[in-house]
Amino acid sequence: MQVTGAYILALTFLPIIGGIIAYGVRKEWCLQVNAIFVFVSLLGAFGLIGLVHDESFIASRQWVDHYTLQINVDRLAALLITLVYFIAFLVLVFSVHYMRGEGGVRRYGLKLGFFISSMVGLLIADSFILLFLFWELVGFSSFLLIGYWYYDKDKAQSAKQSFMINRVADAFLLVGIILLMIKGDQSMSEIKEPLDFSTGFFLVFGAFGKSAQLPFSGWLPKAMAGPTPVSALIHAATMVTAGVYLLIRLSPFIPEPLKFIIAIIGAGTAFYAAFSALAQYDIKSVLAYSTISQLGYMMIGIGVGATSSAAFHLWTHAFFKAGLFMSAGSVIIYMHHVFGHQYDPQDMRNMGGLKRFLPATFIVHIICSLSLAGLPFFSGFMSKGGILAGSVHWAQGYGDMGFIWAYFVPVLAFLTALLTPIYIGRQLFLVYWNKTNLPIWISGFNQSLWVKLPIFLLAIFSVWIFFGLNPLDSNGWYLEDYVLAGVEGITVPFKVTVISEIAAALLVIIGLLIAYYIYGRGVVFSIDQKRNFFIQFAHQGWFLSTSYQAISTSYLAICQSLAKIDERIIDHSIDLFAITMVMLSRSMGWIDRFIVDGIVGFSAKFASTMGTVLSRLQSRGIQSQILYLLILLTGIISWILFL
Amino acid sequence: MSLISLIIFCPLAAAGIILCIPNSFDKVFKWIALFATGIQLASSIVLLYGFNQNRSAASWGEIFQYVEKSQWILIDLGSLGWLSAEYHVGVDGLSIWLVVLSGLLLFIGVLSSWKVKSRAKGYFFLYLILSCTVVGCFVALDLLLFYVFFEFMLLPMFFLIGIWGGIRRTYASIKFFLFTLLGSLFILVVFIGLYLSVSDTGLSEKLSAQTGIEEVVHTFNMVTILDGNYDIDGLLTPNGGFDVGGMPLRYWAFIFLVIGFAIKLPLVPVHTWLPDAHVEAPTAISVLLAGILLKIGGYGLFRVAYSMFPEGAIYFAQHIAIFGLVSIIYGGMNAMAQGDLKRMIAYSSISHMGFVVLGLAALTTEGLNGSMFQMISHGLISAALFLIVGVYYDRTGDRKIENASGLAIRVPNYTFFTALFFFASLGLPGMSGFVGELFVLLGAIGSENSNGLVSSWIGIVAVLGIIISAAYYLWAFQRMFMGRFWLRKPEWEEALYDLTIREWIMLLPLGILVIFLGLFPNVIFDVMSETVHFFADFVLTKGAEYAPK
Repeated sequence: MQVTGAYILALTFLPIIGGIIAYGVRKEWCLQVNAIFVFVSLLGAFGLIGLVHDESFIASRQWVDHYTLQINVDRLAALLITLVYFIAFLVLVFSVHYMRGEGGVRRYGLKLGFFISSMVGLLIADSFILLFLFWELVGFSSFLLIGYWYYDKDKAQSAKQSFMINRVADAFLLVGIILLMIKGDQSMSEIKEPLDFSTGFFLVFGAFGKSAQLPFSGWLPKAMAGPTPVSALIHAATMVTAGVYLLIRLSPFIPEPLKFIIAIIGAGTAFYAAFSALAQYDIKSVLAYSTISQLGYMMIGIGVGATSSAAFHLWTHAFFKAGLFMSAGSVIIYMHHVFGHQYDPQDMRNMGGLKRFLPATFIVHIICSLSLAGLPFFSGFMSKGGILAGSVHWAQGYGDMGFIWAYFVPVLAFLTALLTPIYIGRQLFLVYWNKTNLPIWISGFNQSLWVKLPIFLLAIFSVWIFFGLNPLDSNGWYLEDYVLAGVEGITVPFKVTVISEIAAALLVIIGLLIAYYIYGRGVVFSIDQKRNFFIQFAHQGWFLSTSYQAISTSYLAICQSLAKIDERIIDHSIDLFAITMVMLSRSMGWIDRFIVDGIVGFSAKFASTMGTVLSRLQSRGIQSQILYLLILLTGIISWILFL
Repeated sequence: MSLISLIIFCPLAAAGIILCIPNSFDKVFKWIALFATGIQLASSIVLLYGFNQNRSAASWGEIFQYVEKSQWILIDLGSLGWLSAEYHVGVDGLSIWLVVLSGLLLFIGVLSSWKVKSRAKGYFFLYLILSCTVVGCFVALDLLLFYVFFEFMLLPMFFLIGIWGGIRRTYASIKFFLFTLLGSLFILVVFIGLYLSVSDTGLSEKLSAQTGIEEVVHTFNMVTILDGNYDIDGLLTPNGGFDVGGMPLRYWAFIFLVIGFAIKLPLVPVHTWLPDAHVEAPTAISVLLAGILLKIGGYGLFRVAYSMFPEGAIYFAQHIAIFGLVSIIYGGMNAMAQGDLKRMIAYSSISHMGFVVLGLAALTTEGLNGSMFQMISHGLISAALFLIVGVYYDRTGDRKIENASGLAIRVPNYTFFTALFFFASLGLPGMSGFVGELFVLLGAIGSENSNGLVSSWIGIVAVLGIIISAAYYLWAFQRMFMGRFWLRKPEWEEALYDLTIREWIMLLPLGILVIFLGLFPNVIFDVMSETVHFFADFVLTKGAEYAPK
């Protein structure tokens, strides 16, 4: 038991230890050292799958009185840990080439190691305190990585914004966790009965933050400011799935009305992001929005009860999306190589006809794109199919109860299934086929093997055969039973229907044809092309960032006026009080000086005057003395006589 | 020699030595101060080491350890009875960590004053006086003694800000002085009231035996008061029947104490002295002000207001919690609007001290633990943050956020520490700031279901605090440290160098502690848990017992 615990702990912290060790290594070798550590972790993770095969591993340790830290490695966690290490390893290998020539590679390796360890920690965490700890550390390390080029003001701002949006959602999660802990559930495995609505609400919106669901979606496109391999790891395969992972774990206990909300928001997000992806010009932005859209699918899956399909989609998505990001990365390497900083190396309008120069990337990009689009025989088709079918089944259930609005979810889900091939087809045509308006191109550009190898692997893992035997059976995931046995209370409530499978396949083909029709026939976008409002609307991601901006601006204005109040009114009133006191003292002083003192002074003066006057009586010679005496005597005698 | 007396009076002795050394030896003073505060730190660690954390107690008399007690004042006031005040000191779970914290910060404060050149003799003399009084405040177990330390603290503070401070130092120091003095008057009134209502029966019998007539000895002894030895007809005797304005006199006394300590804490709306005092104070004094002096306000609420007037604590729980909430939000929002880095951190202190009040108001074990922890954690973090500002101010003579950007490129180590403490302060899990806030929130939100004192919504709204604090810290960090390297004045650029060894020595221990306590908070909790449990039980049971019938 203890050995396993130590094993898991070592496995979790190996990447960060590797990062620290690599920090002391020469610059050229530091990422290789990192990669070796992660590779060892990957091997260890395979071992972990075997270890928790029969029963999940739970260990706890007291943190403070009445509060324990508990980890729980079940099959789902073990699988996802393997996934994280696998992608992380490929990303590190890819980074060796990608980050060559960048300053601060060691810093990069350290941050990446920190991130990987936090992510694995999040996966094994069972007690809420531990979950929140790693949840925040994942956000924090992501902040560090997005802000890798911290000296670039825009990128620094993006890093800040994405951390802030995450933080807002984390506040929801924190409230949810506290509400659960107050009731006595300290860890996820202790939850035994359905959550009440408010607790569930806070938890679900907390999960929405990391998984970039509306209204928190805006951070993910911002996160593209980081290096591309980072995007492949964090913003495609791992961190963004944290929310989905949490909800998969909680799904047996989420009450039905909340599931409805999850499904609606998931569908809305999926559509919103797919629509926005249509008008992006940055090669990474398209992929960022596509990630949001796919996360929306996973949320639909959880909301409609197709939780196993959601987990399946999380799994397949990690491979093809990481493949897409790294393909984009190798395109960016090429563009950077050719044009330097002269043109934006990420703008698809500057690209075109790259299939001649980057044949390897081209193939990988196509395979991964088709998997994303959901073409049959690719992994994406299988996993998405389950979610689509589930949403129809679920809406029928609500429809039978007369709640016709539930059809909103499948309609948007299928619409998104149509938009997905269009936007990804658009990307392919813009990058690889069309002509470009830029002059010089270099052929014979040698792609490094360290770039090709990881993306090839990811392309291979986008083909159906690694996930299920029958390419058309959405429930045919090899690991389905394996995973389902691990998480209690998840069942498959429906059978995938043939009709929805056919519809999904048809939509993909139609979508690809539309993409070809619009973008595939030699259209050249010029950079300064005018955009109508509609395109602008999609390009700006439905002005979500703009509205964040408005919120933060008005918040700042409120703060500033509050500070004015603090300074002018609260502080001022105290100053005023002080001034009044001073005035009062001054007037007291005046009174004291002129009235009280005046009386005293007057009496003194009076006395002294009288004294002077009377003293005269005694001063002059004997004659006057006798005269005064006579007067006095006369006075006394007359007083006695006449009164 | 007794340990606590050593901690209190060692700096006083050093101050005496400093007085005897002529001004021309101006290099010696800081070494003497360092030595004296070093002894304070070392002996407070010995104190902690010898503290028996498992000692359970049935009454306050049994809870204090390292108790030293001797008669200080005993005079016959004729018909008013005898006045008794004692030199009575000791520590329990509530005060032990604050003593250790003071030891640490006072030591670090000397290091950060290393470059004080002008009038060094006076500076370190006053600094040592301050060192004596702050510790005295935490260990005093006699109200008069406490009050003497509490008041005497103002004097060195006033001069330290008023002489060695910034441009508006006179204004700031007078404001600080008057504000705090006003607070102490509120406190003094209640102390006198308590003194009149409590008598020391043991001493009375002894004196009666000596003089042959019956003597009454009123006492300032806190333990006597805490253990409830009230006179039958005392002014502040529970259920004594004295009403003022329709409210029992004891409620008024509680309110007075809360106002008095709230000024020190500070709680909105009596907080406005703090930003001015902080901005004008020299770095080391800001460190002490935020790190220790504010904690005396929180400690006073625990030790005096809540323990001696438990029924007030229960009756006003909701109001006090709301004041805490307002401080959290209002302080944070004000911090967002500040252009001066030091002012921003000063307002963030107000926000974080709001958590202390919120946790205390909830009166659950979690809330109280969180409140105490937050005091320790805030002591470390805010001290570090003021040191951070001081480092920058030493080099450039400026503190405006807008006057710099991209510092990370030029001074990476400095940036590392800044980021560390910024994130610690905004409550990143894994660092101490989070633990305090988590437990306060657990207490505040859980109070409704456990003791019913504070509504859950207050705690839930308080969670906004973690968003607000993230906003101002990140914004400031992004503006000052990220982006292109730029400084308003070119001559600052030459003056800008990375951390010196002395600054590493100041910041590194704080950084390590902040992370260590964030991961292993039980180190703190275990030592104080017996006292906190006793405190919670005491306040709840006595509160019900003392409640006006």
